[in-house]
Amino acid sequence: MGLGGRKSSGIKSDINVVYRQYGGEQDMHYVMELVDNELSEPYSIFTYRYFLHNWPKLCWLAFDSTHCFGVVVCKADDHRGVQRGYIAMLVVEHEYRGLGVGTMLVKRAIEEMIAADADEVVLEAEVTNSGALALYRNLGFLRDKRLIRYYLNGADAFRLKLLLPVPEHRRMEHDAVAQMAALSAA
Amino acid sequence: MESEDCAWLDIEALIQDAAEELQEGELLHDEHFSLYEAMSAVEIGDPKLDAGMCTTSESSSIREVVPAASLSSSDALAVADRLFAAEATWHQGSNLAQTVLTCLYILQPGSSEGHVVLYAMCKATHATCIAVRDLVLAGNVCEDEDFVLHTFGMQVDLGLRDADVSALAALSLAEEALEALQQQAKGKSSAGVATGQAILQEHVAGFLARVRFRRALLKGLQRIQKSTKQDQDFARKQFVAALQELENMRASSHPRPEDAVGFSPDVNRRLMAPVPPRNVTFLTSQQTWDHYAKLLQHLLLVGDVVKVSSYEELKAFLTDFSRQPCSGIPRSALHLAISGKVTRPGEPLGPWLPRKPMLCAAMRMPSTALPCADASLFIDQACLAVAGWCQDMCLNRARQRRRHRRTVEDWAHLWDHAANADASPEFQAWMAEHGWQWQMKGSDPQGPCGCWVEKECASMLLQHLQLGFELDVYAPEEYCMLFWYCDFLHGVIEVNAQDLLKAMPPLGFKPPQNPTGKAVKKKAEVCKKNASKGPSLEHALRTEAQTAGVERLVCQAQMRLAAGLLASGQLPPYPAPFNSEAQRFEQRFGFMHRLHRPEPLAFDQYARSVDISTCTAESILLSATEGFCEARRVLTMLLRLAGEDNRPEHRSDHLQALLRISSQNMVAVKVLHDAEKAQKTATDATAESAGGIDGSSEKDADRESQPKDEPERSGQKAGSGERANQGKEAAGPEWTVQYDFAHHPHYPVLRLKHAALSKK
Repeated sequence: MGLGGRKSSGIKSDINVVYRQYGGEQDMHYVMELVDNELSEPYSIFTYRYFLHNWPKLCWLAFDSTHCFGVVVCKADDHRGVQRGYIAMLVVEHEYRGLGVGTMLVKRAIEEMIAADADEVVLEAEVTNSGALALYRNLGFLRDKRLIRYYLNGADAFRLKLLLPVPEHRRMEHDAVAQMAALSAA
Repeated sequence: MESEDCAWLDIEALIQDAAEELQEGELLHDEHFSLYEAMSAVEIGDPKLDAGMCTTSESSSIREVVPAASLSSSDALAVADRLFAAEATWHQGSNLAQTVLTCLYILQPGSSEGHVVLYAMCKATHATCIAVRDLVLAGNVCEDEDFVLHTFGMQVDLGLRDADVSALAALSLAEEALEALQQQAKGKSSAGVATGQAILQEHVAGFLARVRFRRALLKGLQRIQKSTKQDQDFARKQFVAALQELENMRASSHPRPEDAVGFSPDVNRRLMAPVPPRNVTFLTSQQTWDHYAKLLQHLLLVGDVVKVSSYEELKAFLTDFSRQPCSGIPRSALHLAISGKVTRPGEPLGPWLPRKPMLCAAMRMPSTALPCADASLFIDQACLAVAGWCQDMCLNRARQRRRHRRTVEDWAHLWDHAANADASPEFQAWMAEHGWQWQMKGSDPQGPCGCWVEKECASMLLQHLQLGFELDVYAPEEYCMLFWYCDFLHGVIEVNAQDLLKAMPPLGFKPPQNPTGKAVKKKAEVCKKNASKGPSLEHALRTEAQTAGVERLVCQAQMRLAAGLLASGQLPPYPAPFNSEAQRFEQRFGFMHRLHRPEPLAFDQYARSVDISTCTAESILLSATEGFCEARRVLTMLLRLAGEDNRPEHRSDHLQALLRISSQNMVAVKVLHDAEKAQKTATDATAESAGGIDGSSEKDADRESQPKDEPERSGQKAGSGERANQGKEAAGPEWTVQYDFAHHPHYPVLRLKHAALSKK
């Protein structure tokens, strides 16, 4: 999954961007239209509902007045004992690129993931999608691995990963458990 | 469907009722409905999702094919070339159903029977597909991204056992017919008599080359799957013959094979799996012939494995082979050849197989009389670990990197076995008796077995880290910590190779006579037998230590360069709104904490050893220049030695590349250093003229000190930016910088561009 690869035109400027979380079935069409129009990978209705029904808080929309022009769709669950956030789709309409809206959408989603105790955040992006790669790099993501012929068009992808610091309360819990174990052993 | 035990009920009304209960957006599913299931679901009739949907108006006539006997000579050549393109496209990752099996002459063999040559070509293509399929399955190194083996239940039986026999017979008949045509031409007879259809004289040589190519390729692919040196040599001859024919084929290419009759792209569409369809574009003629040329050259490389006779040679061979851009077919062939899976019972093991004799020789132990049970168990486990590593080296580069990371636990377990062997009294007694001079280091319990494991594990970890450069996984701002860790791993290899070299018994060492037992005598004989491996083993260890030593120097200089770029403002710091350098370090190197040896390094160690808070950019860049200068000096010396020693060409190439990189970087860093110095002087002069030096000058003077030089590991904090086109305007705006890996996949040179030029 990844971000569409069109270049920024910077046509729109000086707009008042409103961000809000996915509000329910009535927002589904915004998401589907944006993703279907902008991304090359085809997704079925099952894929949209899989994400949006399970993790509505991890979907954020960007509006210019009543026009929805950006969306991020994510999930967060257990992956081999690690709480992993996953950014599935990120779309900003061509005319609205270069305004930092994509970055803001991803930031909102990551903040939700952190609030839900995520350990890491991952996603895939096409190796030639320099816009997406720069966006995620600026958020601290590293290229974790290369996935050969990952997309239907035969292009490679990078798996990008953001390892999050262990929150203070969990670190303290961990230390307490270790101290208890040490006391028991003594 | 009817039976006495079941009764069929109409549940349509029930389903209808249930459907009416469902609200919009609700889905009835079991608890295992995951992203995979959601992604695999298709919407029937949506052309982006429904692979089985025919998007063009297909008539029944599409399956009707012109009988091959009616084809003109040129049309038949077009079919033959299109078939090659289809097969090559399959080799490069498309599926059989959308490539070779779109050829109606293959799907309907009767339609080509009237044309001796095309019939043979179709039979041989089919048989070659079977041989390739068998090879790839047995090789066990291809993933979906490398090779697609699914046939979606095609009518064509890919399990046909005698396909090769009938194909070879058909090819012989075709060759005879074509040779007869050539003879007739010499006697000025008319063409077409022998084949039963019109083949123009201008096409005879081209067809003949294709028939001979097909036969050589098929025979070679069959024999390369066998185990002996004779089999490999036979296969090699076939591939050489095929390469020769390839040039004739290229010269006689049909100008427009894409117009060939008898191919139907949609013929299998309804049989495709319910997954979104992948677009398939056949290779052009040029790409097709290039593909076969590369395939054959890589298969010839596989055949060289029979020249390997020691672990060190096998390691070098696999390292070189894995750097070639090989497709899944040669990689499968190589793994099959080194896995020993095809060795028949009673057949002697090829000396290139990573089995007990090879591993014992690598550690100069007698394979037939190991010193103790712990040593025996260790060698068994080492064989498994090395076999796993060999398989990893035959994977594609991206998978290889991932597998190296996953196998660290295997190496951790192997080190435990090695420690048990090293600690066993029997093994220590055996070492003392057989001339080993192992010196324990303080309280370190590690003996030669552990030392060897640590060295091999460090080598594997280095491959993992270095593959990241090749795969463009790293950003320049990470280079400092990466070269810092690579320096450490090279250091482990250097030290351990030297330790083994010092400790090994001298060549031809004879243990003292023991009047009490025959076992020692037997061991002595085995040692003598293995003594033939001695010089190459010592030479390999010495070379390994030297190479690791000089690569340490290059890594240290690269690390300082990266730190200098950060300190000078050439590269901006890594943005980190959510995490810090500690997490990035953990992300890259955290997996190594599953190992005992090499000792995993922590972020704190890195942060302490690369603290540049008291250094100026000028001093760091100067230290980098000196680092590259020292690397150059040592490389020049090693290259001179390599020339005197007549060492393998690939090693000299490696050293030459490092020398070129060090030389270029030395100059580039010197330019940056001078620019930094000039800018500082100008800044100081401006400050002085504007009111004199303030109190900060004292601090500045303190900061002129050199960076800490490796209290634990040398290095400084990294710069940042993308790998390519990373140029950022310097704090001193003279130069923009860019890393370039043109000379070596793992070590970059720094390209400088004057800011005035880069703005144009």
